[in-house]
Amino acid sequence: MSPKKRRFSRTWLLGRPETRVDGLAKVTGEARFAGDMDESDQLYGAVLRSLHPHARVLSVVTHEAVAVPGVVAVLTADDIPGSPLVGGVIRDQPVLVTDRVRFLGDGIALVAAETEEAAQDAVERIGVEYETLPVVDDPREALEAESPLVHDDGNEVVHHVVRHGDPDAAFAKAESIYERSFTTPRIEHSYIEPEAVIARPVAGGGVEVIGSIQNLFSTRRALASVLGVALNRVTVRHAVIGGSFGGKDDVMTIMACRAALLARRCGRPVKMVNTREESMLESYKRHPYFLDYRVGLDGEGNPVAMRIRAVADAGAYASTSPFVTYRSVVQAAGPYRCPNVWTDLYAAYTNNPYTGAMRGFGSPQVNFAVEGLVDEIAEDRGIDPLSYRLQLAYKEGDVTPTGQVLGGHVVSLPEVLNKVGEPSGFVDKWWRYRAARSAPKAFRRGIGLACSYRGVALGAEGVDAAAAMVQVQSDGSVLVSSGITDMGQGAQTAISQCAAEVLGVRMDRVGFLDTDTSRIPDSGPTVASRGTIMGGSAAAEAARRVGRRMLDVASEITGYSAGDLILREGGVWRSRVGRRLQPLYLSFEELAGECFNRGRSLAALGWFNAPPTSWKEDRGQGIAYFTYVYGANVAEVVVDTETGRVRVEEFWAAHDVGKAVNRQGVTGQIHGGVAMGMGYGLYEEFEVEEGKPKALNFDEYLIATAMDVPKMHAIVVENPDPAGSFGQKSLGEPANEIAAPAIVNAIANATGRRIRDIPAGLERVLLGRKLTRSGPRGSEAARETSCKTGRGHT
Amino acid sequence: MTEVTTTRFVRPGSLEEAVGILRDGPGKWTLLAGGTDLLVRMRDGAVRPEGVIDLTGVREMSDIGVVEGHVVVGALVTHARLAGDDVVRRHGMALAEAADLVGSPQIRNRGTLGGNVMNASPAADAVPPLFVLAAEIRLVGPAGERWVPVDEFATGPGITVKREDEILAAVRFEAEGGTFRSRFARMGTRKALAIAKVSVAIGARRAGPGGDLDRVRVALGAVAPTVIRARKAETLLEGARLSEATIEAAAAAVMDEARPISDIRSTAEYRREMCGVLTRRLLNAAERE
Repeated sequence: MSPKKRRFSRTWLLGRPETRVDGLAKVTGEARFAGDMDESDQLYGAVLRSLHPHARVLSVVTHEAVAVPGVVAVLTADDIPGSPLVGGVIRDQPVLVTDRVRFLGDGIALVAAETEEAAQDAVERIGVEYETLPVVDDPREALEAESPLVHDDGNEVVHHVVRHGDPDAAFAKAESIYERSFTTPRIEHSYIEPEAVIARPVAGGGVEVIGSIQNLFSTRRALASVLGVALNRVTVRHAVIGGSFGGKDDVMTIMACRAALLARRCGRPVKMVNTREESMLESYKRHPYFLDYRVGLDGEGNPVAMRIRAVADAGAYASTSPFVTYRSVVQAAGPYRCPNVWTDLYAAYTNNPYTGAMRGFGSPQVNFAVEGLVDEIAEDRGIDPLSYRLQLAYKEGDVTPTGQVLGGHVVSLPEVLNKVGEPSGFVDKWWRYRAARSAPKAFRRGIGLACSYRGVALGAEGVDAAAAMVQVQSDGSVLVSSGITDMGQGAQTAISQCAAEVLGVRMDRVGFLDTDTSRIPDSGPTVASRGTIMGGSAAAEAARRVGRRMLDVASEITGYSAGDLILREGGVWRSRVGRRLQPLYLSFEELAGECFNRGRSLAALGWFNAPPTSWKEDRGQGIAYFTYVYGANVAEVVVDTETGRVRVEEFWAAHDVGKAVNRQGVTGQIHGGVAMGMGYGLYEEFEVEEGKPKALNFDEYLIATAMDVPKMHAIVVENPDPAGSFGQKSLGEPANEIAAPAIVNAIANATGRRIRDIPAGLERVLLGRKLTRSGPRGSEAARETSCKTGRGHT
Repeated sequence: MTEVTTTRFVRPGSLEEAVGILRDGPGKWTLLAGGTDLLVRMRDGAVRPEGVIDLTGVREMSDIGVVEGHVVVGALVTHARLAGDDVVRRHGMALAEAADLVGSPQIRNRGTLGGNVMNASPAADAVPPLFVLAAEIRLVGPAGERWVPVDEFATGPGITVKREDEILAAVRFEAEGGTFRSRFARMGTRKALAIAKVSVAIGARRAGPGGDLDRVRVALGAVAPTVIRARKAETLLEGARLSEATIEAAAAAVMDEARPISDIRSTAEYRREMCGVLTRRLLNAAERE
């Protein structure tokens, strides 16, 4: 079916606020997280991590650890039967290091013991001899020729380009040119549940693993490779997951592999749970970026040329850096028409914590930069930032820097801009607050705007397909399962709703099975805000297959043509053009029973393939993503100009989601995304000095709390997209990616000062700069609290 | 998950009993009140007590009362109770305000005044108010009790003059809320659950609106190894009337007296600046009263 010609009929169930299928268990405490699970004969696993951010490991002595009572096994890299290296894109990360540590989270040895205490005790008795190496801690320096190497084949992880038009020629003719630099911080995902896993050995050399795992199939691939067994010997399931935000990918893969190695060696289940400090030390972060923008404008203020160069700190291992920076290079110029754009996006190895997927995935960094810049240009030109953005914003038929013509869906950027602009009174307030800057007042109001376009799902990064299974039981109840993981974002609910919509049953008839890699096909990772469009479309497809078989039976029973029958409201209806729906008094339950009695299959697998994309890496040209979403945020703030305190008072967020599946979920994603984006803009920075993190728990790593969150207006915009089964697209990441620039632009409106380095903490807002920490805090020094990594790290 | 393990745990029912246990095993015991700090440090391994004396069963340390012209606050009184207590609000508003800003509701329900003082953190919220209230600390040991002025109690971060065999039982300050006023302000990174970057408490007696100030006290938190008094600012304000000029002079004096450092929560430069801003704001508010 041609995507352009798809038309969407009205849904009867989708789009309503729906109670989450996992909600009751979570509020009653019935939900079981991996840390809550225990096997009767389990051992506890512990990891010896590096003491140095960069060092050669000369020897590892384990005999003292082996002798600790209760210790069952002590393993090093030599004990890995398969590949010691893992990595979704570049296989460069050791499950246990062999000869070299590259960051403080690297694991050197593993212990399995009868108790946590014994495991910990043994870890502390492992002797490691190091020869320290120079620490590379700045990705820009890492790319210089004379930099020490983090990996022997060079510090450059990836260099993506976009070459569109001829910026140099256009700069020569430009009326004005802006050159600005921006930096964004390394931040922690801050999921409430630290990593946890249980691995159980199974016959045939394999394992079963359950844990707080986001991307089950990636973890399974790594497990098979590390154990040296086939994929069908490895089963990975997720427990209830307490938040992920992109964060329970590689770090969980490594933890699962470690637990599996111990489990296979010991022949018993092994449980591993990170403390918060271990989690913060070991887990990957959002990439810090160093961004340089050069923009040339014509006399009307339209961008005619852009040169963008950005360097991302990949940390010690590649993880998803090549894909994160892919999204950045595609979206770096923002959603604005510009005929000549050259962009260079680098990721470089350092000895800092490695960086990978985090909600936004390369967009929050470039959005912060381009949105700050566009805002500044608008103000300089005496135009309000809304009108200026409307002047430049993509419309249908415009060409992106990758040469992709935007079309086949509604390019709703002007719509979302107006939908935040009007209710917030943006233009009027922006002028008024700007005028009020000259008054000598300590507290000043400001209002700020930011917008974005974002490619849906994986794009040309990789294969994009997903599976779902729908099984109708003989009593009319339904079981749905999918290869998409629910980690709190509401995927199970949304995917169930898509099946229920097609089968015409209410949600109380639907149960959702937790994902199990041996019971559902590899559906790719649950990332890139692709759950609802990919998993939901697959579930709809599966439900259609089952539904068609059921209507055939209904046709046999009623004598009406199957083509005239539909499933709706828990029963079968006759549907003819121009007539009202006619109830046939055949309930879904009766029909299911009848199908069963007649030996008809009521189970089907739905497979959804994303529309095609294309990419030429040498010039960065192609159909980068099959469709896009559009969003706009407005923040209203009060700045205390004597203390630098910023209070975000009110927030408007409009997002085109294509089609809202669970309206409650949509609102929740927006509220959570804004709160998280607020932390990015104002509070959060995972500071690292010489490869050593400065804070490893939430007492010193501060995120926004409920007390800081403003009054929020979630504005749901729906322009159904031909790509999704019901027109649905993406929201999880869009909701998070432009809150920070909206807030920082509001600060500029209030104070007249542009902040180009986030977080905009009190010191930065007041003094315009942030001094780095020069020592431990006074009370800590006196207590001689030497290290706070919880355990095994002193 | 790290297990918090101790060899011994006792929960005496009276102060006398608690003192007796301490006397019989000097150096072996760690005192537990709300546990909001101790449990965290035990989990970190920063403190590994041989035994814990849980004081929460000592009823006589849990009261707020007025005794011989003094407000006496038991060491076990929680921040939540301090924040809402009428007697404390009348005679020591700064203390109530500070208690209301501690941590989160959960921490305010557990954390105690005694624990906050014993912690001897320069950033402890309740301590600058106690300085301006000229509070005294009641220490009870085998030899009986003694009262120590609060500004002599902590001698460095985490270090106090309390002996190992003593228990901090109560805090007292004069009940003269009719004439003596005190206020507290602080700066933190976010609204809740943030340790102060800097805090200021100011207290003074004033003979009616616009009247001269006397018994002025200014205390600064998180700008020195302990909470400190800004004595130059106190001298400037003593006997003066609040005016723009005196307020500016006092703010400048406070900035001059602060000895802040840079750490993960803030920079020296910012802390110094904020001492001045908070002082100015507290005095401006007092002037308008």
